Amino acid sequence: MKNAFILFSIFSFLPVSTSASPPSAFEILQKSDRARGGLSDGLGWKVKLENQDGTGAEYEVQVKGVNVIARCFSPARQKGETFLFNDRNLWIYKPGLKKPVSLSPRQRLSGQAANGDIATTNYARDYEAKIEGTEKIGGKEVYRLFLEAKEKNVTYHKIRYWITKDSFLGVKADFLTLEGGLFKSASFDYKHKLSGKPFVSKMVITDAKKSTETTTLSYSEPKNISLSDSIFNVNNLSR
Amino acid sequence: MIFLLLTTIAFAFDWDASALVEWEQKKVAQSPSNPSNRVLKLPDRSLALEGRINLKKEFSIFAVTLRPRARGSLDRKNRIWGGYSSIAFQEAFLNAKPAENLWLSAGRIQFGWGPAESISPSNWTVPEIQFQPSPHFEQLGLYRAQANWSVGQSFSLVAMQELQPLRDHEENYVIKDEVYRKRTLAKGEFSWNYGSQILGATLGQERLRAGLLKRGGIYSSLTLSDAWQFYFDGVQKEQSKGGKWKNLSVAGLRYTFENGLEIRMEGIYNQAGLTKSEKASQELLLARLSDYALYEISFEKAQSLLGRRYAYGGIRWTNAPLFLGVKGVHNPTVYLRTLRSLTDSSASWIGGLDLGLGDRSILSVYGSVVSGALNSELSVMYRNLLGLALKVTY
Repeated sequence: MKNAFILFSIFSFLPVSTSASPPSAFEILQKSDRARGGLSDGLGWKVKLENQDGTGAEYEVQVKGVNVIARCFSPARQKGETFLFNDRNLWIYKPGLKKPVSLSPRQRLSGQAANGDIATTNYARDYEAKIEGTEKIGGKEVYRLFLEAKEKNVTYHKIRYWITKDSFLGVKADFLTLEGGLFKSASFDYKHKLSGKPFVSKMVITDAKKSTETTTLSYSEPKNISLSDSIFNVNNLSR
Repeated sequence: MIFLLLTTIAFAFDWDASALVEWEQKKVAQSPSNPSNRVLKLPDRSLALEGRINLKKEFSIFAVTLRPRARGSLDRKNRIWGGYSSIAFQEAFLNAKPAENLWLSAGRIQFGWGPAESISPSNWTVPEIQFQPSPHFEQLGLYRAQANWSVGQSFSLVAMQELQPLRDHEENYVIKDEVYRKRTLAKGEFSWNYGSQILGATLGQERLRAGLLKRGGIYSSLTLSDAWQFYFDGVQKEQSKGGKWKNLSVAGLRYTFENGLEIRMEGIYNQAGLTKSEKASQELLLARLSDYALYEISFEKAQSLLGRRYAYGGIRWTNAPLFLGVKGVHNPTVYLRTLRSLTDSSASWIGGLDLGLGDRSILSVYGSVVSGALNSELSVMYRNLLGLALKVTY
């Protein structure tokens, strides 16, 4: 016990090197998630999805931690449709419907842009990450990370992700199949500011096989908002 | 005046409006409860036009929701065409949030729960049978006062008291006159693992001919994996004041494929239901009843399960890979549902296809076929049906 106390005293007074050591893959990912709405204490924004053929949808999104509500207000035929994400569990409610309907986590993957894309980004929680190297994109130094899903029920199984070194913003992503083949790519812009920090303004998803097939997610009106946990309770979805 | 009213609504409320056109062609069943369609006078052809408006306005802690519906139809009944119209509120309620986790509501409210697709026994405020071939059918809400209290995302308590219904619609073969049954219900629900596991219980009572009878229900859904979900929903019902309690329950499994195709299998047990021999005796009795009594019984039949055991199956594929590359066609949804009575071997099949057309429209093609003897339970109204509907939203 006495020895343990001496060891503790010695280590307590050792200088802790914080600034010199490079951030871990997990830390890089966690910081980049914040600029895409992840791990928030209460955020809201609007997102417009536009496909290359002119179709799309618009949602009003509210996020707190792992919970997300996305209310569709366009196109007209889908107006009022509400998706509730309790972590990976998904509910849908439509006005006039007798009750909210639970959807399988597998249905996170359906839709023109996957339902998971409309929701928030928690890559640090959902993926094991390792730094593959550094390179330059658009004149900026970036980390190249390789992410592998911890669970099967995430939107993408494997991701190669490029994050800027100076501001920890994800600027490019390749979404890979289980076998490692490329099936979608994405690029990101951060023209919004939230609490003085950059926040995502645009995500463009391109099909790997048909480069003309794209979906653009344009984010607008991001804001910090106070949200009660109870609004994410399925029993309050139709209120 | 109307223009002024519409303009005020458009500016003051968050709103959307839809027009629904439906054509249905049906073969009326020749059943003991509706011989030669003399009792129910069901239409075998109908062309309906329905206007639906959804209005919502929030004022600080209050919100008003109004969903008026106006329907006009041309129906052919026993070879004679006639015009019919109805106006109703599908929902009309006032909502208040006096505290962070408390919602208070009053008015005509649609509020449902239950993991099964076929029936929701723990919720006795809705009809037992809710199979309607039209994908655009809407159940009317129930006049009630309701309180929702939640603790975070995982626990909620709901208490409701049925209110005396206002006469906001006329009775017809689609909308039955509402009977005030003094229904009360309290519901507690707990979920864990971020809502992947749910356990709920209900307690309350409703007034029937035998008196004010008690009910107690329980429901649960367990997400076993990304693909599998198991669920259960049941209620114990007091049959007469201080008398026997009988059970109505459903248990089911849902499997979802990687491509989003969903399959459900459900088994229903109705302890108060008739056995095969009891049902045969009832059919003999029906032949001696007056048309008025048959009319009442037919409505009862269409609203509740009569047999002891049923099997239910459902397939639903949202965003099915159909009409790929066809310009302007979006979100195709295909579905097929079947209910089979294990008491009299009758079965009902309902299937359809919904297609999003452009930004505003949904085109639906649907049909229903009944198999089994002419006097079997599931063929009380129609033998088959074919429908076509177009819904346009603004």
